Amino acid sequence: MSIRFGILARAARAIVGSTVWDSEAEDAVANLDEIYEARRRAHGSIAAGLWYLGQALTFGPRLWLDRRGRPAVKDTRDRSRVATWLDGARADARFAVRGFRKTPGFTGAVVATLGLAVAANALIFAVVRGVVLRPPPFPEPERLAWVWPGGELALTHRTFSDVSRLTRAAELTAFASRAYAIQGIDRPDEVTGLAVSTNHFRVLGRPPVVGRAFRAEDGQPGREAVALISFDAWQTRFGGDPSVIGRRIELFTSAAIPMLPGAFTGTPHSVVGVLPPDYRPLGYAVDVVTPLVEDPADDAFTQLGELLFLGRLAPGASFEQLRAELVSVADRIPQLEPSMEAIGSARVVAFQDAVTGPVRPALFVTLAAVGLVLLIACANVASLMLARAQGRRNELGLRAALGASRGRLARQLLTECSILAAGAGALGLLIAGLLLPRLVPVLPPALGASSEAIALDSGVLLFVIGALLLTLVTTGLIPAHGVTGGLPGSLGGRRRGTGGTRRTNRALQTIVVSELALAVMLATGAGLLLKSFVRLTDVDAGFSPRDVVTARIAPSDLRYADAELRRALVRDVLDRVRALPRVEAAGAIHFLPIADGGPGINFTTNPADPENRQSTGYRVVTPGYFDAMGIPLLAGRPLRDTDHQGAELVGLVNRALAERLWPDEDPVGKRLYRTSGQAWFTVVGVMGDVRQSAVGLPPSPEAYLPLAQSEWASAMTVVVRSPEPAVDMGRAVEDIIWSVDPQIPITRSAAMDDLVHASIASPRFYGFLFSAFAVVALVLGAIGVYGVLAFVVRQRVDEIGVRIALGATRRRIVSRELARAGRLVALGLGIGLAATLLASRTLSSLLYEVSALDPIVFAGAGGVLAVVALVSALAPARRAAGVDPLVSIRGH
Amino acid sequence: MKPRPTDLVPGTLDMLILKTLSLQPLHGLGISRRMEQVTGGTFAVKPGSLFPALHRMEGEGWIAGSWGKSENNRRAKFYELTKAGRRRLGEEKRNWAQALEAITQILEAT
Amino acid sequence: MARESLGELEQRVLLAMLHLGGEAYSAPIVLELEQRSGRQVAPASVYIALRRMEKRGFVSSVLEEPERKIGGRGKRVFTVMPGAIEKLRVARRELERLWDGLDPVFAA
Repeated sequence: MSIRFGILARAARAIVGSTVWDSEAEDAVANLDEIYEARRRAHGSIAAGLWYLGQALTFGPRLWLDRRGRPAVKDTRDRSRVATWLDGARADARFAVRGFRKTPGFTGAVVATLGLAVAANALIFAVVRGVVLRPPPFPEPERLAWVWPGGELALTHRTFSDVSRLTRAAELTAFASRAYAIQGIDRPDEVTGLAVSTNHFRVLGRPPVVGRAFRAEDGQPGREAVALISFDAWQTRFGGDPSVIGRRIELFTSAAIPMLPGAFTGTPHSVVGVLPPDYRPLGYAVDVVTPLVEDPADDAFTQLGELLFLGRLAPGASFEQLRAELVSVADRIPQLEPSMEAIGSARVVAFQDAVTGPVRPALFVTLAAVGLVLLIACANVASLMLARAQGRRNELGLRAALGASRGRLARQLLTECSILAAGAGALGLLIAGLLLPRLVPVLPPALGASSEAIALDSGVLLFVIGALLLTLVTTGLIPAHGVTGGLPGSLGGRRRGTGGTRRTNRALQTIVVSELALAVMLATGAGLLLKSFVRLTDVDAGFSPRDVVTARIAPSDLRYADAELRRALVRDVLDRVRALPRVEAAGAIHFLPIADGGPGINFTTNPADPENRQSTGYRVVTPGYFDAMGIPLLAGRPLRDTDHQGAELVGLVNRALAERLWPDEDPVGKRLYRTSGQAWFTVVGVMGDVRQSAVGLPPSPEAYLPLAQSEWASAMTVVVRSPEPAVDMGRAVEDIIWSVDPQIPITRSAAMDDLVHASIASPRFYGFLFSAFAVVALVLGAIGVYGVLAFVVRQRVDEIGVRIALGATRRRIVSRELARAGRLVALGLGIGLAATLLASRTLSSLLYEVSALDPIVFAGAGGVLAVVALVSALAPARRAAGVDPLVSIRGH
Repeated sequence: MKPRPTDLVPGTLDMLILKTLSLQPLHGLGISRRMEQVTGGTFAVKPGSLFPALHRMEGEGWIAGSWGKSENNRRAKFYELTKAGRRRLGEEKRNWAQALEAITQILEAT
Repeated sequence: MARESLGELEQRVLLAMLHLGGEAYSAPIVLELEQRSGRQVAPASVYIALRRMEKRGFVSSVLEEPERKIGGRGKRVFTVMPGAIEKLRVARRELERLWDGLDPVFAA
């Protein structure tokens, strides 16, 4: 029985889940689901959904009341105080609803304003909860710690096996990211993979859901190669078939390290298990997990510095103890491996912090911003309520005179607010529910958000309830205080300015000032983020992405086992691409800037001196790549077709590496020794710096090595510069690749412009989100100023009339009212800017080359807000000038 | 006029339930209703002994309960005979026949 | 235990359960009641009635294993106890005695 739930029903289920006792919730939901389904069939999903919502709201409270020992059989015994109270509340509610019916405009405005703000808050909170607050799905996650190596040198497998043997404060396990090409299932494809040490599943504490975890012998050399596949891959590629255990899949390391002979070899792996569905130890989904093989004879064991260490603290041990122990372990082990010093200076970071740390500031700042939006909406509603309550002073005064206590009247107002808040909450959840599926796909990829994790669950519901309570306090209590405080004198009617009115005025002005202050904060934040975003789009990345298309090929087939075949493949493709009309340049690279990150190698200028060992980023390229990307040659010569096997080994360096190694010398002609390939190569040229990993990050030292002299980099990205439209050119390149070999997976085909664009998705997202918040804040703030001034003018019609009668010019009246508004605006701006000065530092981690105190942004935000506020004050001020003195005096 | 239903012969409840279910799956009260029908109202089984018996027999693996549709199209728990139950019914029948034969012999002994 | 008589809703819940074979979880009871009475019934009332009757020994319950389907949830299955049948019989007799002899009044 699978039931389709509409949005209402989903909200209702969440409510039941969070309001019914734990042990009973499952039964309650199961039963309500079934009745819902019967009703849906009979009456349609909307009627059934509304029914469900109604039941959901009463179910928990009724159970609770029942548990509170109401008489077992309903009878006419003394009604409990709860029941009397409920009756009173019901009467209040009926009265309130009647009032709202009479003023649909007011009610609609309040519910819509609050509802939208609640929806925005629910959505952002759902994201924050899904991405940051949800504990990682491993037992006792607080005992998991990352070990981040200090310095530049990365950790090797040998370091791991030495260190983990000696460490007592935690059981360590090692990871390495792998990109694999996979074959032996339905289609050849590239997949993301992890290689892990065999104790991985014990340390993380989550065994595979099907099959077995790795055993120690899986990590011994010479054993049958085994692999675990992801739950997702199991479902989509194997149809969830349990007989997948024992199947053979062929894995190729497609991001192989070109220096290592034999690194590119397809190996049949036996599937021994299936990973849990939410297995994302590094924050992203992986398709295949293989054991790290501990083979001291393999170069990879000692040379590949690519491992991440994770540890589970021993009972009673602390992160600090682990760090201290690592220092002493590093001291005890002879410095055979350079990466041991990276252990000595390693940092130990809580697992959750490491996974979500980078995205946390942005999310919390966003949550704070959306909270400000809610506050502004509350302030607006409070002023509306206040104005309305002021208009009802006669009614309330009458009720007071008839003996209603002040508490009773306050309760009436609170009841009204509760109903409005409940309506706003329901509307907000409804909107949030509708928007959530559309929000998740546009979230910046850096959040690693999955649609399963981001949902309107009971946590979000609690948050919304909390937000509504806050709403209740601000929109209900303040007006209640403002109005009932002055009641006894108010029966005389509104004509005589009473203490109550003055009190209301003061409250209203306070509200407007705070509203403006909050709006300034949001506007400034938005301004800073937008300016930073514009800066980012203006960055010179060192290459020119316009008119460049790229296609990444992963020839992960046994047919390309031979290095020369692979080189020939790329050569063929490039030759044919260059023959296309209007192609200006074409080349290939194994890690495309911006899109692919980058690998590193260790090298030295003096192999005899172990101290001299250094590391740098490197990329394998073909001639033509630099022309295609528009990267300038600063010195020496570019790569040529003659730099092939058998010729002298050559390479290029970028400016950053050249300046680091030979600050005062000519780098051209210098020689470097690759420790992992154990060969010298000669620097023949210096290239301009390129922002390889991100537009916002400064360039780092890089070496470029010719493909023709490298062991294979299995995946290569073909880069083509042509003025043809990118879509056409991209298709033409794909056609050529497939004409050379129809079996090759093209794992990415994209215009370089689009890749750069996508890489700044996060700043763009936050910039536009904040702008949206700021616009909402501006509009609400403007409405607030308008409302308050209109109210003040209405209250002072008499006084203005007298002034006009006494000869005040209309100009004077207008400027007087504007000055009044100006004082409020100035106060609000002042407070807001001061608060922003204090708070804007929280934004600095999101800003690129913009100071968090950027004076232009501050002035601009303040200016815009002042103008908007004063313009909205104009209409009431003009109305004041239009008061007919005769009418107002006759009124006396 | 129907005779007043009498209680079952002790020890025969399991067999009668198994026999009733061997014809078709039924819900709890359906079983007792069918037994009354078949015996022309002679035997009735009270819910107080029926449900404990059903739960016990489900535990023995002789019958299996599952949620099906009632006359009114509602989800109700229906019981059916399992393979083990069918075997059990055969044994009970044999025992009963033997017992009956023995008793008859005693009663007819002169 | 089980001294008090059954409330009206409790009687109705029990009768619906008997229509369902004497064993049921709350959703079919609600639907059965709605169909036979033609009125809406709040699941919470049925839920509370069942819980109270269980405390008084008129029904017993077990939490059933979730059905072995994705998204299956465990439900509490209630069984009518003999005491309840007795109480229902008493309630029916009481009512019938009250109705006795009134037929002429109700004859159309």
